[in-house]
Amino acid sequence: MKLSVFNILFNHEIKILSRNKVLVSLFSLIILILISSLWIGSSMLQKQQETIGKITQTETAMTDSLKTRIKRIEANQMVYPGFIWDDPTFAYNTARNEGPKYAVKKPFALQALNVGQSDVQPFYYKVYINKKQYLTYESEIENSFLQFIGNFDFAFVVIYLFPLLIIVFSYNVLSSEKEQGTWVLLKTSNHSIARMILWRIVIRYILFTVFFWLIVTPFLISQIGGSFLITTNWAWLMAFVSLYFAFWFAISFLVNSFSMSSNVNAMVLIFIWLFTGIIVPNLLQVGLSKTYPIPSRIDMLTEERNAINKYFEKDGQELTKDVFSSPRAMIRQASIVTPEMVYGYGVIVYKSQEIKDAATAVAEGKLYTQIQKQQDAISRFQLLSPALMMQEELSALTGTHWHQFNQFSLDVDKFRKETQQFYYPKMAHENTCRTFSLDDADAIPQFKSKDYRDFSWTNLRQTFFTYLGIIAIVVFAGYRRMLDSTK
Amino acid sequence: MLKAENLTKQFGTHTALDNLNLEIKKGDIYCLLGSNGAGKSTTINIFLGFIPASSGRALIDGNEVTVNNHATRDLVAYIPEVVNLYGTLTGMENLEFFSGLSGYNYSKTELIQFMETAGLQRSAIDKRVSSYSKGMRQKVGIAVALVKKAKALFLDEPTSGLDPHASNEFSQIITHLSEQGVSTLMATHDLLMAKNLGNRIGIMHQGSLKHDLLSQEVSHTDLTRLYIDIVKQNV
Amino acid sequence: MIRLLIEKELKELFRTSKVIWMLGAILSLMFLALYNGYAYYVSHSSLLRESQEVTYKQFISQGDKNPHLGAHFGFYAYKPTADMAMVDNGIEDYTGNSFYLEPHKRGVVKFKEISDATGLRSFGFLNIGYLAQFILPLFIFLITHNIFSKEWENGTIKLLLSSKATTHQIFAGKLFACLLLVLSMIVVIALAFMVLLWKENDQGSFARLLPACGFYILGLTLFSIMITAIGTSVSLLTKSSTLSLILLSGFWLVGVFLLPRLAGEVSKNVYPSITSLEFENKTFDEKQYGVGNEGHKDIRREKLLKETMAKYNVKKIEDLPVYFIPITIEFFEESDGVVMDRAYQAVDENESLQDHFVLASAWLSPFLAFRDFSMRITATDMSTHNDFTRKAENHRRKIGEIVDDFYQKNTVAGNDFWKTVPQFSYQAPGIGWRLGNATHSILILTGWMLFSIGLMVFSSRKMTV
Repeated sequence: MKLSVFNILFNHEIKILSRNKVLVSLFSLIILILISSLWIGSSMLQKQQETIGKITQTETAMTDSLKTRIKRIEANQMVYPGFIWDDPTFAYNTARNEGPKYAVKKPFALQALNVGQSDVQPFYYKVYINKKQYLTYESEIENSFLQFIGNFDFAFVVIYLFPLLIIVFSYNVLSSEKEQGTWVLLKTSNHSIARMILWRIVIRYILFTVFFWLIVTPFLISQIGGSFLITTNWAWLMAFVSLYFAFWFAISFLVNSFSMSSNVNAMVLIFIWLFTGIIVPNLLQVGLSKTYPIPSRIDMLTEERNAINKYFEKDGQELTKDVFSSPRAMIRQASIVTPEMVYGYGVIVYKSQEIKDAATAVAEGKLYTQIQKQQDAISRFQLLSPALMMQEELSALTGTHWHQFNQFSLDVDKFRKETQQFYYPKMAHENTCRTFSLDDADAIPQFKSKDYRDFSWTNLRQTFFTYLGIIAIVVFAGYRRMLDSTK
Repeated sequence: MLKAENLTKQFGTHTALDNLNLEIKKGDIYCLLGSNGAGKSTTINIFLGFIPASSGRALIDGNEVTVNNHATRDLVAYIPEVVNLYGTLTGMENLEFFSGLSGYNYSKTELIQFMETAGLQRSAIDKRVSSYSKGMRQKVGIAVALVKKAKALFLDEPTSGLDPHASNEFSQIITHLSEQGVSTLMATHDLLMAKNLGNRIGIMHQGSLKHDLLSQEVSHTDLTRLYIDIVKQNV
Repeated sequence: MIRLLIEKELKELFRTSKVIWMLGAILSLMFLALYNGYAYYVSHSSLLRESQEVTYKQFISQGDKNPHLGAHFGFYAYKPTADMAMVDNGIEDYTGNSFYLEPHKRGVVKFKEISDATGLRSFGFLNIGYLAQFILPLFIFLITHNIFSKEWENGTIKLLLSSKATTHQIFAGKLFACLLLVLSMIVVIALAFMVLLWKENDQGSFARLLPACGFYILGLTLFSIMITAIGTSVSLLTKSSTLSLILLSGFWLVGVFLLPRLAGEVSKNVYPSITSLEFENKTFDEKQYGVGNEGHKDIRREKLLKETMAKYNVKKIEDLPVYFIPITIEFFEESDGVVMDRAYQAVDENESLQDHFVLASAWLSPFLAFRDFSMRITATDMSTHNDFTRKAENHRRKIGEIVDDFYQKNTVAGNDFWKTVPQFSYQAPGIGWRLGNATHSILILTGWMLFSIGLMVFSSRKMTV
C-alpha cells in the first residue's frame, strides 16, 4: 500500500519536475557550473603536480652541479677559479647556494574539490638555514586581487549554489498546491497531506542527490583518476555533502509547514541562506578576532630585530670585531674577500640566527596558539552555520585545512632545524674554513614529503551525527506543524 | 454619454469584439448580458482605457478613449467583480489614497460621509482591509467611485458572491447614482438583477450585440428565453 | 500625486512585518560593519605607524658595524593602512604590508594577513564596503521584488490604473518610496562614516580626505539607485513576486559571487602566472650567467676590476684608493636590479592583464564594477599597492647607494652614519589619481546606469492590466 503511494508520488514528482522548464534549465546550468568547477579544480591540481615535478628536476640539477663543482675543486688541489662567495667547499656558501632543499606538501587528489587554504599557504618551501620560512617565504606567485575575489571550486558550488538550487526546487512544495487550488483535491484524498508532502520532499532529495553523485563521480574519475575512491576521505566527503543537501531540504520542509505563500517561503529561505552562510560566519569572525586577536607577524619581526640589536651591543660586537679585525681576515682592506671573511660571515649568520630563532619562538608560539584557539572556537560554533561546518569539514577531508598546512609548516620547521644541525658544525670549523666535501653533498638532509590528508584531529563523527540529529528534529517539527495545519 | 462606434477588438486571430455599436445616455443603467467570453469585459476594458481597440472608437462625453487618456479617466469609475484593495491599509486609508490619486482633497469627515453613503459601517472604516468581507470591500469600491464624482460607472459582475441583502443595498446605491445623472455600464450574468436594476439591457454573443432592449418592454421570462436562445447558438 | 503614491507605498512597506525585520537586520548589520571597519582601521593603522617608527629606530641605533652588515640589518617599509580602510579594506589583507629595505635584494611585500587567518576569512570581512557590495543589493532586491507585482497579485492594479495617476507617476511613486528607504540608510552610513573619519584625523588630513569620501558616497548613492531601479523594473516586468524574486536573487548571486570567481579562474588560464620556482630559476640564471652576451658574473667582475684599476691608474687591487667590495656591490645592485625589475614587471603586467579580464566581466555584473570602484577610491586596490612597492623599492636603492658610498671609504659605520639614512614614509596619491584608476569601472557603471534607465522606460510601457 505504502509502496504504491510512493510509486504514484515518485512518478508525479518526475513529471512535475521535468515539465517545469525553469527548473530544468536551472538545473542544467548548475550542472554545467558544477562540472566547470571540477575541471578548474583538477587543472589546479595538475598545475601543482607539474610544479612539483619541476622542483624534483631543479633539485637533481642543483645536487649534480654541486657535486661536479666539488669534484672539480678536489681534483684541482682545492683551487676554486671563480668568486669566493660561490666556492662550494665553504659550508656557508653551499648552505646559501646549492644546498637548500625543497620541502613539499604532496597534493592530495581530492584537493581538486576544494582549494581551502592552498591558495594562501605555500605547498613548498625552499628551506634555508638562515631564513625562518614564515618570515621570508614567498608563497606561490598569486595575484592578490584574484585571491581576494575567491576561488571557484566544487566546495563553493556545493556550499553556496546548491542550497539556493534546493530552495528553488522545494520552496513551494506545499504552498503551490494551495495557490493552484489543488490543495482541496489533495485534502479530499484519503492520504495524510503531511505525509504526502514529506514523501515528496524525500523523493526530491533522493532524486537530487543521486543525480548529483552520478555526475560528479565519473567526471572526477576522468580528471584525477580513481584512486581517491578507496580513501575514507571520499566516503566521508560523500556523506557530508549528502547531509548538507538533506539539511536544506529539511529546512525547506519546515518553512513550507508554516503554510505561508510561496513568495514568503522563498524570502524566508533566502534569508536563512544569507544569515547562516554569510552573516553568521562574519559575526563569528568579528567576535573571534576580538576574543583571540591574531598578532601580526610584524611584532615577531620587531622582537627579532630587538634581540639582534641587543646581541650586537656586546657579544655580537666582540664576535664581529674578532672576525673582521683579526689579521687573518685582513678585512681592514675591504677590497678582497678572504676565506676567513666567508667563514666569519658564516659564523655571524649562524650566531645571529640562533638569537633570532630564540627571540621569535615565543611570538611564534603565540601566533599559532591564537589561530588554534580561533580554530577550536570555530569547531564549537559550527552548529550555527552549516556553510561554515561544510567548509571546515571539506577542507579537512581534502587536505587543505589550516591545521594541515600548519602541520606541514611545523614539519618544515623541524626539517630546517635538522638542516641547521647539519651545516652549523661545518660552518664553525675554524681551522680549515673549507670543510664541505663530496660526501657531505650526499648527506644533506632531505624532507620527507607527505600529503597531510589525515583528518583524525577533527571529530567528524560527532559533527556528522549532531547535524543528522538537527535534521531529524527539523523534519519532525515540520511534520508536526504540517499535521496541525492540514487538519 | 457613452458611445461605441464600430468597436472591434482582436486578440491574435480571435475576435473578442466585433463591430460593436452602442450608446448609453446620461442616467442610463445599461446591463450587458452574455456568457463567458461574449465580449462584456473587453468592452469595459476598452472604455476604461486598459486596452486599445483594434478599430472603431469608444467615446465618453464626446472624448475618444485611448490607453492612458486622462481626459476620459477623470470621468469614469470602475468596480470590478472582486474589489481588491491594499490589505495592510485601512478602508479609510485606501479611500484617501484613491481619492487623492483622482485629484481630490477631501477632509476626513467628507470621506467618512462617502463611506457611509456607500453603506460601510462607521466602526469598520478604520480597520485593515485584510479583515474585510467581500461585501465590505465592494462598499469601499463604491466609495472610491463616489469620491471621483464620476459621470460614468463601469461595473463588472459587481454582485456575484454577495448575499441578497448586500446585493439589494448595492442596487439601491446604483439607482441613486443614476438619479443624479451617472451613466452605468454593468456586465452581469444575473438576469433578474439586469431586469430590475437596468433601464436598458443588451445581450452579447461572440463579440457582437445581439439584442438591445428596454427593460420595461421585456418580461423576465422573455428575457430568459432570448438569452438562452442566443447562448444556444453555435454551441 | 507622487507624494501620495510614495506615502501609500511606505505605509504598505512599514506594515509588512518582513520588511520591518529586514530593516532591523540591515541596520544592526550596518552598525556592526561600521564598528568592525573602524576597529580594523584603528588597530592596523596604529600598529603600522608605530612599527615604522620602531623599525627605523632599531636601524639607526644598531651601533658600530661593518656598513654592509649593518645595511643587511636594514629596516622595513610598512604600507600604512589606507586612510579610508574603515569603509573598505579592499585587498589590503591579501597583498601584505611589509617591505624589507635590504641591500642587493629586490624587495617583495610580505606578511599577507590572509595567511594567518582561519577559514572564516573566505566568508568575507564585514565592513561598510562589504555591506554595500554584497548585502545591500540583495536587501534592495528583497524590498523591490514585489513592489509592482503585488498590485497584480492583489488585483489592485485595475483600480490603480483607472485612477488619474499616469504610469510614470505610479512608477516614480514606487521607485521613490523604495529609494527613500535605501537612501536614508546611505545617509546614516555617510554620516557615521564622516564622524569616525573626523575623529581619527586632524583637520588637515580630514580636509584632504573629503573629496575621496564625497566621490565614494556619490558612487554608493548612484549604485543603490541603479540597483533599486533594476529591482523595481523587474518586479513590473514579471508581474509575479516569486518569479522576480528568483530572477533578482539569481542575478545577485551570479553577479556577486559566480561571475567574478569564474572570470578569475578563466583569467588564470588565459594569462597563466609564472610559478615562483620558475621565477627563481629564471632570475638566478639571468643574474649568474648574464642576459644576452653579458657573460658570467665572474667575467663581469673581472672586467669591473680592470676598469676600476684603470680609472685609478693602479696595477694591483691592494693599491686602490677606494675599497673594491662596495664597488662590486653597487655594480651588481644595478645589473641585478635590471633583471629583477624586468621579472617583477612581467609578473605585474600579467597580473594586470588578469585583473582587466576580470573587470571586463563587470559588463555583466554591476556589483563587481562597484567593488572595483570602491577599492580604487579608498586606495585599497592593486594600483595603490604597486605604487607603494615602487616607492619602497626606490627608497631601498637610495639606501643602498648611501651605504655603498660610505663603505668605499669606511669599514665601520656608527649610529651617526645610520642616522643619515632617511626614514621611509608613504602616502597614497589623491583623488585625481584614484579617479583615473577607476575610469574603467566608472565607465562600466555608467553603462549599467543607462541600462537601468532603459529598463525603467521599457518596463513602464508594460504597465497594463
